[in-house]
Amino acid sequence: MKAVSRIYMVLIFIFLYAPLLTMVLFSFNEANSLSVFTGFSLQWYRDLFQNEEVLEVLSNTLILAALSSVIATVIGTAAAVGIEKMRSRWLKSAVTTISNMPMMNPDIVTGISMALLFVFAMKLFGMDSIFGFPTVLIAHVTFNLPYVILSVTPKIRQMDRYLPEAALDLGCTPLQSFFKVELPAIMPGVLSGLLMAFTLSLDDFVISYFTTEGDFQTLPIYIFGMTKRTVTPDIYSLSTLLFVAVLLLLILSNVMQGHAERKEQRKIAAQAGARRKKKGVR
Amino acid sequence: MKKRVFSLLLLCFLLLPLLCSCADFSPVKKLYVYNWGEYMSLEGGDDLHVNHEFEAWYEETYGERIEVVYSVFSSNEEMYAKMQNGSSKIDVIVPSEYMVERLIKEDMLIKLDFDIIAAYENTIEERFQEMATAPYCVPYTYGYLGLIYDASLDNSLFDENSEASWRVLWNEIPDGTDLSGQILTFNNSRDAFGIAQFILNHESGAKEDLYVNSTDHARWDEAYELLGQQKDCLQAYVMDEIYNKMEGGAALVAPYYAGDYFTMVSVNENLRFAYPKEGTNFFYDAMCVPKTSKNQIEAQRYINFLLGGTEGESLDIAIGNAEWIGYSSPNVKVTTNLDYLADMTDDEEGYGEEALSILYPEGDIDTLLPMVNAYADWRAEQDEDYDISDYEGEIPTIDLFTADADDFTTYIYQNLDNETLEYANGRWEALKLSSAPAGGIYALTGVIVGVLLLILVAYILVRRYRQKFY
Amino acid sequence: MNKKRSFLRTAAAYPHMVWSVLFIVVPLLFVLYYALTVENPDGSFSFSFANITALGSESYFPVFIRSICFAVVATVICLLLAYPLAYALTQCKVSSQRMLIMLVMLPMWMNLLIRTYSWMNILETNGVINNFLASIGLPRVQLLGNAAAVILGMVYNFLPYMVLPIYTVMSKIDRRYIEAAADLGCNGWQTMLRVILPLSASGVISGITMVFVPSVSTFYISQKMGNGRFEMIGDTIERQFMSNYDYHMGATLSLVLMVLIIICLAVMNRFGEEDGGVLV
Repeated sequence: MKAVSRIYMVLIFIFLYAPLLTMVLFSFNEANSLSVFTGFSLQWYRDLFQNEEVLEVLSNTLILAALSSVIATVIGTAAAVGIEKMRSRWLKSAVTTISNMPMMNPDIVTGISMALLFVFAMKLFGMDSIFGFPTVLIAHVTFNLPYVILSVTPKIRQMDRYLPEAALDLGCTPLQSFFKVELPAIMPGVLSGLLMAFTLSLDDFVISYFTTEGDFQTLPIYIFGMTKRTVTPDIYSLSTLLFVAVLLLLILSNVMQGHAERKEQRKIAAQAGARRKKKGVR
Repeated sequence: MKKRVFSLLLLCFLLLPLLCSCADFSPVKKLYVYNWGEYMSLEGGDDLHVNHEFEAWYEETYGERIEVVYSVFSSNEEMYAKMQNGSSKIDVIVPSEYMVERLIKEDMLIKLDFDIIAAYENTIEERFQEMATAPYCVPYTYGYLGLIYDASLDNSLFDENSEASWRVLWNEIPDGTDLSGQILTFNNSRDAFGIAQFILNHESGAKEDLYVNSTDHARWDEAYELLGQQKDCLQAYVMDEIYNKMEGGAALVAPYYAGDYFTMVSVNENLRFAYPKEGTNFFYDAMCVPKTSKNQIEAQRYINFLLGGTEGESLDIAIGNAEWIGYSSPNVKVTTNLDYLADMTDDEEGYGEEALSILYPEGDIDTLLPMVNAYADWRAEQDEDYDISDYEGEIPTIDLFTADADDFTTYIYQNLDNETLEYANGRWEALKLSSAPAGGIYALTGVIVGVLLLILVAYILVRRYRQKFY
Repeated sequence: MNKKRSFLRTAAAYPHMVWSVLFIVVPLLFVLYYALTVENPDGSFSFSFANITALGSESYFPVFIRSICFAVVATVICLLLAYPLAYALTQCKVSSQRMLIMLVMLPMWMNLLIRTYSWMNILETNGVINNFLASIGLPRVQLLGNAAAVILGMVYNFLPYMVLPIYTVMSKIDRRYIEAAADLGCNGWQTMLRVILPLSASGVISGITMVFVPSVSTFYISQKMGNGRFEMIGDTIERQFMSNYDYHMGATLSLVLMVLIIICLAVMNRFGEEDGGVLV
C-alpha cells in the first residue's frame, strides 16, 4: 500500500514538473529551438540581459507589483482593522462580500468590467486614453485587496483584545496604540498579505490584458504577445530565473517560519516547565 | 529582531524598482506607432533599427528629442477595436486597404499634408497615387496571398497543368494524399472568406468579381458553407502563430502573405511557395494618421522619413527596411534600386532568385532577372566602398514590375457597407462558434452526471433505510 | 470616549469601502448596463434586450454547454487525481509534509502562459514527445488540437487548487476517529468511505469550486492546447473585446457567465452546509 502511494506521488510529481523541466532544459539549449536539444550553452541568458525590451517589461512588472501590493496592503490592513470593529453585522457582511467579489468572479469578468468602467470614464470626461499604468495599477490593487484582508483578519482575531485598550489606558493616542501595539502584533499577517499580493500581481495575465494597452506591457502580456508568434528561448531563461528567485524566497520564508515556530514551542515548553516548577515549590 | 531585519530587506526589495524608475521623468515627446507584428527592422546592435535612426535624425534636424513608442497588432480588426475603444494615443497606424477605406468613411483619418511628406510624389508608384484612398494614406508595403507548403508535397499539390489550387486547403489533394490535421488557415474573417470566395468566383466561370466584395447575402452564405466544410480537416485558425507551426513543420500547408514566406523559409528551407490558379488577393498596407493624434506634424515627418526620398542617407534606411520586411515595396526608389534587387535575390544574404517572381508576380521577371544578375556580378568584383553610380549596365524601370499584370488574376478587398459587414461578421462568428467534434467530452459529462445522480439516489436510500432503525 | 474610538476604528475601513464601490460595484453595474443596451449608429446607447435574445437565437448556447462540459470533466479528473494524492500526503511524515505540499504548489508560481506553452512544446508534432517517437522509429502522432489536450491543459494548470484545500482539511482530521473506526470493525475501505470521505467533504467542495470557476472561464488554454478549434465562452468574450468590437455582446456573455458561476457557488455552498450539518 505504501509502495503504491509512493509510486502514485512520484507519477503526479512527474506530471507537475514535466513542463517546468523542459523549460529549464531548453533555456540552456544551444540552438534556437524549443524541441530539439543540441548542446549546452548560456547564450540565451546572455541574450536576455542584452534584450532591452524584456528588461523594460520586467521592470514594469516589478514596479507594478511593488506599488500595487504596497497600496493594497495599506488599504487592506486598515480595512481589516475597521471591519473587525464594525457593530452592524449587516454592514460587515456586505463589505466582506463585495470585497471578496474579485476573488470569486472569474478573472475575465473582473477584467472586462474594469475595462468598461475606464472606457466609460474616458468618454464621460472626454479624456485621452488612460489605459496603461494607472488603469492596471487600479485593477491590481482591486484584486489584491481581498487577499490582504483575508490574511490580516485572522491575526486581528487572534490578538489579545485588551492589548490596545491597555495601551490607551497607559496614555497612548489611538494612532500610537495602533502603530506601537497592534501593528507589531498583526505584522506576520500583514507581511504574508503583502507577499501574496506581490506574487499575485506579478503573475496576473487576464486582468492586465483587458486593462492595459500596447504602451505599458507587463511580463505576462509580453509573453502572451510572444506565444502568438514564436517564443524565443530567452523567455524560458527569464522564467527559469524568476522561478529560482521564487523558490529561494519560499525556502527562506519557510525556514524562517520553521525557526519561529520552533522558538515558540521552546518558549511554551519553557513556560510549562516554569509553571511545573512553581507547583512543585508549593 | 530578525523579523524586523527581514521585513526591512523585503521593503528594500519592493522599493528597488521604484527608485530605479524615478530616473527618467524628463518630458520627451512621444510618437506612438501602431504597426503589424514583425513589420519593421528593429534589430539591436549593428543591424538597422529604424526607430532609433529616426530619433537620431529627428533630433539632429529639429533639435528636439522624440521617442518612438512602437506597438504591434496582428489583424486589422484588432487594430480597429483598439482605435474604437477611445485610445487616442496613436499617431501612426498601418492598416490594410479595406480598413483604410473604412477609417476614411468613418472620418477617423486626417488628410495628409504632402508638403510635409514631400518624398511622396517621387517615391510612391503611380498606380497607388491614383487610388481613391491616396489623399489619406501612404502605402508602406503591398503583396499577394499564396500557398506555403512543405517540399515533400512538391509532387502532390499540382494538377496535370502543374497548377495549384486553393482547394488543397480543403484537403482535396490532386493525388489523393490525406492532409487532414496538417492544414492551417487565416484567423481573420476577410482573408478566410476571401479564399473561399476566390474558389467560388473561379468556379462560377465569371471574369469579374462576383463574390469577394459582394453585397448579396446568398453569396456570403455560399462562402460560409464552403468554410464550414473546411473545418474538419483544419489543424488551426492562425495569424502570427503560423510562423512557429510552419517553421517547425507542425503543419504542411497554409495560405499566407507572400513576403512572410521568406521569413519562414529562412528558418525551414523545406518550404515552398505557389500562387493558386483561382487568383489571389492584392493588398497594400498603408501608413495613416488618425484624427485623434496629438502629434500630426511629427507623425507625417515620420512617414516621410520611412519613404526615404529626401536624402541619400534616409533612402538606405528605406531600402534596409524593405529588405528586412521582405514584402513587395510600393516605393519606386526602392524597387528600381539595383542594390535592393541584388540583395533580395542573393542566395546567401537575401531570398534567392525566386524572390522576384514571388514578390512581383505581375512583373516581367524574364527581363528583370538578367539585369539584376549582371549587376550582382559587377558588384561582387568591387571593393567595400563601391559607388552604385559607377555601374554602366542596364537599370530597370518601374514599368517592368507591372508588365504582365493581365496573366495574373487579383482581387482587391473593398470596404463593405455596414449591413454586409455585419452579416459577414455574423457568419464568421457562427463559423468560429461551431466546434470541432468533441463527442467524447459530452459523453463523459453525461456519465459523470449519471454517476453523481446514482450516488445521490443511493445516499438518500441508505439514509431512509437507516432512519427506520434509529 | 469609547464610542468615538470605535467610530475612528470603523473609519479605517472607509478608504477600502470607497475603493470597493468605485472599482468593484460600479464596474459590475457597467457590465449590466452594456448588456442591456445596444449602440446606435450615432454612437449613443439605447436600452434593448437584443443582446439577451441574441444569446438564444445565435450559436452561443452550444458554446456555454461546451465550456461547462469541458470544465466538468476537467474538475472531476482533478478531483480523482487530487484526492488520493492528498491522502497519500497526509500519510507521509509530518516533517516532510510541508515540503511536499510546497512542491505541489511550486509550479503555480510559474506563469500560466509559460506553463501552457511548455506543454505545447512537449506535445506538438515536432515537439519533445514526437521527436522521441521519431527517434525510435515510431510514426509521429497528433497530440495537440484535440479535446483531450484542452482537458490536459486545464487539469495541469488547476490541479494544485484541488490538492491544497483537500489536503488542508484532511490533515486536520483527528487520527483518533480513524483508530476508533478500526476498533469498531471497519476495514480500510469502510474507514475511507464512512469516516475520511465525509470529514474531508468541505475540502472537496472548495476544491471543486476553485477548479471549476477558472476552467469554465479560461480562454488561453483552450486557444493554445486546442489550436483554437474548441471555442470556450472565455474565447468568445475575449474575441468580442479584442477583435470583434462588440462590447455589448461581450458584456452580455460575461453577465451570463457570472450568473452561472454564482449559481454554481450557491449550490456548492448549500451542499457544503448540508454535509457539514449531517456530520456534526
